[in-house]
Amino acid sequence: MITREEILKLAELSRLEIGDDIEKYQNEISKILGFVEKINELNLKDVEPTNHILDIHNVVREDLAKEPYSQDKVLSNTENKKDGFITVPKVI
Amino acid sequence: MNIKDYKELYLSGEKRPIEVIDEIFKNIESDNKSEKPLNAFISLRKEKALEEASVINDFSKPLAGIPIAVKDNINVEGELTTCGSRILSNYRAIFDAFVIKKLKDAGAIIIGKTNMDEFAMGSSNETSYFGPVRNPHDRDRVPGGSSGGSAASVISFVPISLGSDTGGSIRQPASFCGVVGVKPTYGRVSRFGLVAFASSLDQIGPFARSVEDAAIVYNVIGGHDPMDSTSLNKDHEVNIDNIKKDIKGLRVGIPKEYFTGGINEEVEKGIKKSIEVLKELEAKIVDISLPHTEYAVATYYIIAPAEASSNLARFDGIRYGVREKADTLIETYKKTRGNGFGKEVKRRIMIGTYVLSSGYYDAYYLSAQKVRTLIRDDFKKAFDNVDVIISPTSPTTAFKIGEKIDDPISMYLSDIFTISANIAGIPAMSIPIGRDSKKLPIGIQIMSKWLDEETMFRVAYNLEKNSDYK
Repeated sequence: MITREEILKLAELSRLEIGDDIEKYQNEISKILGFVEKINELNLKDVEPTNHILDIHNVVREDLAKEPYSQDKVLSNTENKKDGFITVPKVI
Repeated sequence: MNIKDYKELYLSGEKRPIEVIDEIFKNIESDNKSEKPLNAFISLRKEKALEEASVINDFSKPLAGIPIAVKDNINVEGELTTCGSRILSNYRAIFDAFVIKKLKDAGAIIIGKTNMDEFAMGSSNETSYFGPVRNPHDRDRVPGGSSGGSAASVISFVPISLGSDTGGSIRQPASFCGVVGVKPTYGRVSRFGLVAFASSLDQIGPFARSVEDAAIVYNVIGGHDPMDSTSLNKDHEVNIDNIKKDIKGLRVGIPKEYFTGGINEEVEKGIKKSIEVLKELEAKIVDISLPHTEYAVATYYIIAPAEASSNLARFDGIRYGVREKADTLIETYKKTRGNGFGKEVKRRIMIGTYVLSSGYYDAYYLSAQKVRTLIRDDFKKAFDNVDVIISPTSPTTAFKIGEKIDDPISMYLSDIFTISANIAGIPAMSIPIGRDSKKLPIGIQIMSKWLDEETMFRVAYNLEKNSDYK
């Protein structure tokens, strides 16, 4: 069973406020991890991992200057802006 | 009505595109007022769609004047792209996805953005911030997910739609709603402009009322795109005449691991009937084995959350999305994400973070990537002896709203037959082949070799032609 502290740490690492649901997540995540652990029944010692299914490598395109999206467009999805910049709470 | 029927209407002058489009909006609006609305759309694109329809005069394009609905995780410039989430509930796309450019070039008219499980995480459409979608065949049941709105809209409003499929999110709702749903080979369709969920698994594909229409849309949206580095630089189009050829002598594999119990009796009966149809069409039925099938769901629920936890890190409310106010930057992130994401999404982000964290990485993520190799090799071996593989699309027909929402593992298992195709990257599709005693559609899944969509469509076309599904 995953501990309360582990859930709190995961929430912290994931930058998620989870309120009073700690116990619920403990139960559900433990169950799911128990379920997925099934794969460790297999002997995987000599198996190569696959992280990408296609046999294509080093995909590059020509380094050409292109017209970017306008500043107005890019900033159109936030209300938190000033002088062409996005504003955030004070960091330091 | 299929694409061909719309074209005939337009070419004969019986109706103009603007009349057809206007009628669709009227149908949607009247359904919205009904007692149990389908809730298939998150936003509609009425003004622009009518405007575009009014100026169409070149009907030579493959989708000229054809109405289409688009899943709400695909960017359409100027429209909301919410991903079914509160955190993006105010987000308007500033560019068109590759597939949207292709659709617009082909003359299609985008009607609106369809409801979906939040960030495509779900198999029932119940995790949407905008409420569940109802199944058009029984409004107390789910349409499947995550592309539930796209599937339901094809039954009720439009001839074609787009969805995305990470573990079955096109095929399972296609099965539940009784429409055709296609997940092409990984890399066939550019994901530029699709909001990423699990990048090594995600693929965009069409829903349609017929196999031929699905192939037409696939031909339109596929192709190489330098903006998606996983996009294949190979000819993707299927020849529509070829898919209508007979399937005499074609080898159809039946994987024994897919029929080991756990399938609803009526679904199994439906699939067996299709196998008989294939025999009558003189296809060769071959018993095959995909020995690592039982590990597919577990593998998926490590890989997909791991990739999602990384992909969804960008949603922090800073550059876009609904930002919550807090005193510090870290608190802003936490509050924004805590309030912005629903429970299923938060659960998966935490699982993904867990399986990627040091100390657990080898036991979970690395092991899952190794099992991925085994599952892919199972298919490689199987396709040495067969041309396509068939199975049920889902172990059951559409279940009731609320039935599985509190039991994540039982929900995950409704994708047990569809997940392997994403893990292996092969093309797979679902078509309706019958109904159960409750009149709910039963879907069959057809999988083919990497890049061999044409044979998959051909088998589907023959099954469709010889099935009595109505």
